[in-house]
Amino acid sequence: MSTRVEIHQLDAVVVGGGGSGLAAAVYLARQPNIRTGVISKLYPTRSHTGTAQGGVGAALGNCDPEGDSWEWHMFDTVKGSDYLADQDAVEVLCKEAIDLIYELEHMGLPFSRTPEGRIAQRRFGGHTVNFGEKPSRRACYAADRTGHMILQTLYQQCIKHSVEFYDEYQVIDLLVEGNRCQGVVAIEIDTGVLHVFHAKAVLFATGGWGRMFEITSNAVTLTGDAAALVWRRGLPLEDMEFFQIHPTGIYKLGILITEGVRGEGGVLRNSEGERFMERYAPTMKDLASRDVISRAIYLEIKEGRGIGGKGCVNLDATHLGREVIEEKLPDIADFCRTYIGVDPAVDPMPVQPTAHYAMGGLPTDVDGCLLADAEGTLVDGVYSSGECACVSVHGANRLGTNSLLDLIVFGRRAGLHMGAYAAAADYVPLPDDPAGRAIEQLERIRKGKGDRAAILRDEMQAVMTEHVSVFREEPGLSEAVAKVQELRERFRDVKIDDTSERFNLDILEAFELGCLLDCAYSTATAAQNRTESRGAHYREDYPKRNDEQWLKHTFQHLRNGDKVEFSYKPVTITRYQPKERVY
Amino acid sequence: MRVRFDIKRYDPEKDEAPYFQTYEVELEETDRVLDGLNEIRWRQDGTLTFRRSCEHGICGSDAMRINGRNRLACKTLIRDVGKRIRVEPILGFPVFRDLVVDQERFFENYRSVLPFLINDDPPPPRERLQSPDDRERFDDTTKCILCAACTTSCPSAWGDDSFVGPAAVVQAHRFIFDSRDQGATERLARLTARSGVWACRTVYNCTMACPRDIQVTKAIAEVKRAAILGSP
Amino acid sequence: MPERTSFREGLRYRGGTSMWAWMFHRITGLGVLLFLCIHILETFTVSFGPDFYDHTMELYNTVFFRVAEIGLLFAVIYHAINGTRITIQDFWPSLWRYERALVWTSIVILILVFVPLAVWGLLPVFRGEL
Repeated sequence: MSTRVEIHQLDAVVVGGGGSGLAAAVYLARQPNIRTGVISKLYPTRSHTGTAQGGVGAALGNCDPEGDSWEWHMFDTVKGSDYLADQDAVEVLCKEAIDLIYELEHMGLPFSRTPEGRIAQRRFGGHTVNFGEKPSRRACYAADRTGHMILQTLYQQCIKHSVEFYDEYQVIDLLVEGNRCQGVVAIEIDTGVLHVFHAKAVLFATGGWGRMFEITSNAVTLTGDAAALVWRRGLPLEDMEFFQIHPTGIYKLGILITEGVRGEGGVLRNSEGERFMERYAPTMKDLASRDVISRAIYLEIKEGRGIGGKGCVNLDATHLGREVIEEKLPDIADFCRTYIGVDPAVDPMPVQPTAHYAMGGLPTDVDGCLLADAEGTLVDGVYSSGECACVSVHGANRLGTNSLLDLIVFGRRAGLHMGAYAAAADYVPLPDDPAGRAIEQLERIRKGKGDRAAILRDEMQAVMTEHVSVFREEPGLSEAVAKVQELRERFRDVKIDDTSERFNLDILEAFELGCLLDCAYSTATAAQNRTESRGAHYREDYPKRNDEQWLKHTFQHLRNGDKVEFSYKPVTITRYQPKERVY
Repeated sequence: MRVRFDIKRYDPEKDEAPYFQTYEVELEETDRVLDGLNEIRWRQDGTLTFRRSCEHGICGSDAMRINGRNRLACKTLIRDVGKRIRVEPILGFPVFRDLVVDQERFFENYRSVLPFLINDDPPPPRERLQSPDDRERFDDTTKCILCAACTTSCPSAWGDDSFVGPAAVVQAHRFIFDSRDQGATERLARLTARSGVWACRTVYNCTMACPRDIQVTKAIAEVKRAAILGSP
Repeated sequence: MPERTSFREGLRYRGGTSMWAWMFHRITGLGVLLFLCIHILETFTVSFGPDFYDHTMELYNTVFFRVAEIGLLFAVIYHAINGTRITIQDFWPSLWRYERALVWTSIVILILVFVPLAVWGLLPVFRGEL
C-alpha cells in the first residue's frame, strides 16, 4: 500500500461526475473565485445518468391541448410519493423545472421537437392532467436517450467553463468534525496514491446502490459510496426502506426498458394475452405509478400467468409500428435486438421488475445542505444532491422523469449555495492524520484472508432480492437483517488477489462491496422497522398505509459499527392532504 | 459451454512486456464477453483489470479489441465471436494495465474541437425553436458515448499522434450541423489544420467499430464538405 | 509501453474491405514512387554518354522488366481508380450506404481496364520476341 499522500486545497469539491455533480459544477464554475474540483471514480461521461432514457418532467404544456401547470406536476409527484414527500421541496422541484429545462435547451441540449419546433413531450407513468383526470404529456425527451444528452450537455458546459476534473479518483473517506466539513480523502486509481482534498464545501452526488440486488438496472459502479461514508461518520440516512423496483427490465438482465414505451402506447400482457393492468389501475392502466405496476407483475407471475411459466410478462409495442419505434425508441429497439434477439416492432419484449432507484439517502434541505439529525441541524459545508440525496421529493415512490429533474434542480441549488457558502467560510483545519482512516480501511482489505468479495456479494444480493424486494414481511426481514450483519462481519476479513498499486480494481471492488453492505444493512433494518405499506415499501404483514403512525421520515444513525438508532422527522405538508391513492 | 479467453496482460510494476494469458469460463452463448471477463475477475483471477460500468453499451467504458476488432465487451455476445476469444487493449494509447489504456489524449482531442454550443445571442424566455428536420440533421452524431472505439480503429490515428481522430470530428459534427450553433467557422478552422479531417483516408474502420451504429465516416465526409464549402 | 501502434499490430486489426483497399492504395502509391526514382536514375545515365544510356534502355526489353512494367501499370491504374473512388465518397457523404459496393465496383473497373492492357503489353513475351 502506498503511504504517499498528496494534499490539495479547494474551495469546493464535488464528488461524483454524473448529472447532479456536473450541474452543481457548472453553477459553481459560473461564480467568480470559487476554485472547484470534481472527483469522479469514472470519466464523467461514463456516469449512470447517461443511461436514463425516457424523459425529464416539466410542466411546459407543449403537447397537451389543456396545457400544463406546475401544480398538477406537484400533485402527481406528491400522490406518487404516497404522501411521504416533503411538499415544500416538491414545490421547488416542479416550479424550477420549467426554467431549468429551458436553460438546458439554451446550453444546447438536443431535445426532440414538435412540428412547431418546441421541445417534444410524451406521456409517463403517474403524470396527469388536472389532478388525475387523464395521462399528461410532461416528459421532455431526446429520443430515448434523454439522460445521455443531459450528461453530455452538462459535461460540455463544464469544458466550456474549464472545470477542474479529477477523473478516476475513488473517494474513501469524508473528513468532518463537529458538524463542520474538512474535506474528503480519495485514491487516484491509476497510481494508488492517496489524495486529501481540504475543502470548505463538499457535495456528494454519487448516485444509488441498486447493486445490492440481483436483478438491477444499475451499473456495477453504483455501490452507495457516499451513503456508506457519511453513515460511518455518524451522520444519518433517511428513508432507506424505500427502494424503487422498476416494472420493466429486460428479463434476466435487468437492463431498463423505459416507461416511455408505455408512454407511447405500449401495454403489458400476461401469458393469456390479457392487458392485466386494466384490472389493477382502471384509469391509468399501464401508466400507473411504478410500485403499483411492479406489484401487479409479481402477482401475475405468482398466480401462474407469467410468460411460458417463467418469471416475466410481455411488454407489447408491436402495434406502435416500426416507424414510431425507430424514431422515438431506437435505443430500446437496439438493446432488445442485441441482448435477447427480439425486434420490438415484431415481437413483444419479455420483462421483469428490476431494482432501479433509491428514494432514500443522505438527508438534505432544499439547498442540498446535509442534515445531522431529524431535528434539522445542519452539517456546515457538506452537501448532497441527486439519487444519493433524500430531500425528500420522491417520498415512498418516485415518478418517472422526476429523477433527471431532481438531479438538475437540486444539483444547481446545491452548487449555488455551496459557492456562496465557500465564498464566506474559512477552511476548517485538517485533523492530524487526515488519510489515516482511509489507509487503515484499505490496509485491512489488503491483509484479509477470508472469502472473496464476489462470494459475499452474491449472498447479499440473494438475500436482499428474496426478502427486501417488492414484497416484504416478517420473518423474512429479520432473516435478511441477520444475514447482512453476518456478511458485514465476514467482510472484515475479505480477501483480494491483487497487490499492485496501479489500477487495482480488486481492492476498489472490495471497498465498494463494503459500502453496499452498509446500504443493505440500512435498507433491511429500515424495512423491518416500518410496519406499514407505503409506496415502494410493501409489507404483506401490514398491507395498509398507516398515516397515524407512519406519516414520517425514518432517520437512521449507525452507532458502534452495527447498532442502528431510529428517529423520525415529520413530513412537510403544504397543499395536498394525504388521501387514498388510486390510479 | 466452455469458452476460452486469451487475454493480453500487462502490469507495469511487474512485466517487462505484455503477454497473453489463457482462461476458461463456463458461459451461455447469449452471455456477454464482459460476463466472461467478470467471471474471471470475480472467481479466478482478481488481478485481471479492465474498465466497465453500465454493462449495456451506454457508458462507453469497455471498448477493447475482441478477436482483432474494436467492440464494447458488454455489447458483444459469445455467439457473435465464438468459443475462442482473444481480448486485447485498444490500439494507439499507452497501456496503464491489462486492458486499461490512458485516455487523456483522447479527451484532449475531444476538447480541442470546442464541444459545446456556441451561441452568443441572448436566449429567448422559452426554448429556441428548431424544426424536427433541423434536429434530425445532427441526430446521428448525438449518439456518441466517447468510448474511443472509432479513434483507436483508425489507421490514420495509429500513425499520427496529432490527428484529432474520428470521435472528435463526430463531436464537432454534432455542433456544426446544429441550427442553433454559431461556432462552425471556428471549429472548421481547427479541423482543416494539419491535425484535422484531411488526415482521414476514408477507411471506414471507425464506422465498423462504432457500437452505437453512428455513420462516423459519413459524418467526417460531411465535415470535409463543409470545410470545402466554407459552411454547413 | 509504446503508444505508437506498430505496423504489425495495425496489420492484425480486422478492418473491413475499405481498410484493405486503403492498404493497397498505400502499397501501389509507394510502388509508383519507387518507379519514379528508378526512372530519374535511368534518365540520369544520359550524362555518362549515349552508349551507356542505350545499354540501360535495353534492359527494359527483357522479360523481367516487361513484367515489372505490367506491375507498374497495375499500380498506376489501381491507385488512380481507388483515389477517384475515395474522392467521390468524400464529396458525396450519402454514398456511405454503398461503401463496399463502391470498392467492388472499382475493382471491376480495374480488371476491365487492366487485363486487356496487360495482355497487349505481354504479347511480345508470349511471342518470344523478348
